[in-house]
Amino acid sequence: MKKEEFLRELSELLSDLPDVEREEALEFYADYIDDVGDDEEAMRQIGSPALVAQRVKAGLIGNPEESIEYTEQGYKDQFDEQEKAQLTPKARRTASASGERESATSEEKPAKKSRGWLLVLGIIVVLFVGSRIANGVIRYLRYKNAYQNQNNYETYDAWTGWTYEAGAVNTLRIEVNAGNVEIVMDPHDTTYQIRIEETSAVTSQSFDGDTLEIECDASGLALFGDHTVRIAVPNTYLNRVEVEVNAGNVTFDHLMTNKFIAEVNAGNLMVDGLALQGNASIETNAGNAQIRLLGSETSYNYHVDVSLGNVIINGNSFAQLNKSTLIKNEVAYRTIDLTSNMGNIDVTTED
Amino acid sequence: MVFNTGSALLDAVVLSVVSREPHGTYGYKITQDVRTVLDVSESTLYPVLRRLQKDECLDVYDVETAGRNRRYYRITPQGRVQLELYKKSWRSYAQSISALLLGEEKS
Repeated sequence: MKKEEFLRELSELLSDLPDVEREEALEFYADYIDDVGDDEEAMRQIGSPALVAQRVKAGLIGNPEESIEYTEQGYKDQFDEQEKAQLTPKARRTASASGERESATSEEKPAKKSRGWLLVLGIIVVLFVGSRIANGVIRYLRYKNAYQNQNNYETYDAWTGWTYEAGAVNTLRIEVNAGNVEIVMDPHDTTYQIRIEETSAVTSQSFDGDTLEIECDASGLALFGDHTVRIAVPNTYLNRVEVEVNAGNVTFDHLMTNKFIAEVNAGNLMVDGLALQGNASIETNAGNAQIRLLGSETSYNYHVDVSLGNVIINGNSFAQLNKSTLIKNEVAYRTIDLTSNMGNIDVTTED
Repeated sequence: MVFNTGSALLDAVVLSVVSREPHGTYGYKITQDVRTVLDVSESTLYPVLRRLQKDECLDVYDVETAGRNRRYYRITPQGRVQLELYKKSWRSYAQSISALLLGEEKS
């Protein structure tokens, strides 16, 4: 089959899709065939227009889960297996025959069971009650365990507190006067909400216009018990995130924001995985800030100001008294302001 | 014996392959690179690329090569975050499975 023929058939098969989807797919396959260089070889790699069309459509509806298997021979594509089975009627017959056998045996069982139905009913009740208890225990353990593990995002649903739609929040401002605050991001979150777990360490939270302000203070609370405040941020860019740490520990486990502004007056701030679309400013008056930026070092400009304390960028120290340094990178469009009046700022980047 | 994996792993592998090319890469090359580790057919990869593009993990641009336009894919900052998280999940997943299955130490 020639390229033109393949594309024409594919176009026909995708005629019920929106224009943009059809054109995207056609362009992709036209490119692909050109890159292979040989039409016949390309067809062999790609498969039939019907198969391609089926997958393009399946991909638009949702992901065909578990479509790939790892076997002793390496990864295998279930779709290909299915297609092969469809192509060989014998294989399909064998498959359906074994299917029938299975269903036949499963039908025999209830007939035998019906004789001792009281016993069966008893077993079912015991199993049911048992499974409920086991389920409860498992859920409790998981809940308990998850609370000790900030990386467990599954607990969002268990949180009681406040939720805000990410789209309505322009600025997120977090002020921490004492205590631990953990801000986490669920990569698979589809709710796009900011969630704050309700604990007595959240001393105030207010939503005014488009600014969400959260204040945390755990200093007045008893020594016993966990007074960590947990906040979930969405896996979409917020416009502006401001953090003020007056004491305590604040950790971000990934954050996506256009602008990031942090002031550490005492205590510690750690941002593990900061995705920035705009500029950032980090200032320490005392206390430490540790920031891991996503992207290469040269994709940012840096404006470093050190009075007392130290600023380290990927291991390079700028510990010189009262010195202001501007590091410009040709392709960078974002600038990171790093001001250390006292305390340390440690910045690392990761490609 | 077979192990099933979800489409998340394929997403992760594709993101990783694209992220290695600072100036982006194109469909045929991505397919070749992915196929060095996963025996997937070409028609499985297009929907993955399209979805990642829609999720704003990848963006596309056209480059003229040999008198025609070739579509290039490039990872976005959001894609990098996603990849980061995939790496993290994979690390912990691989460790727990290895610990259980092979009796390897959890680090």
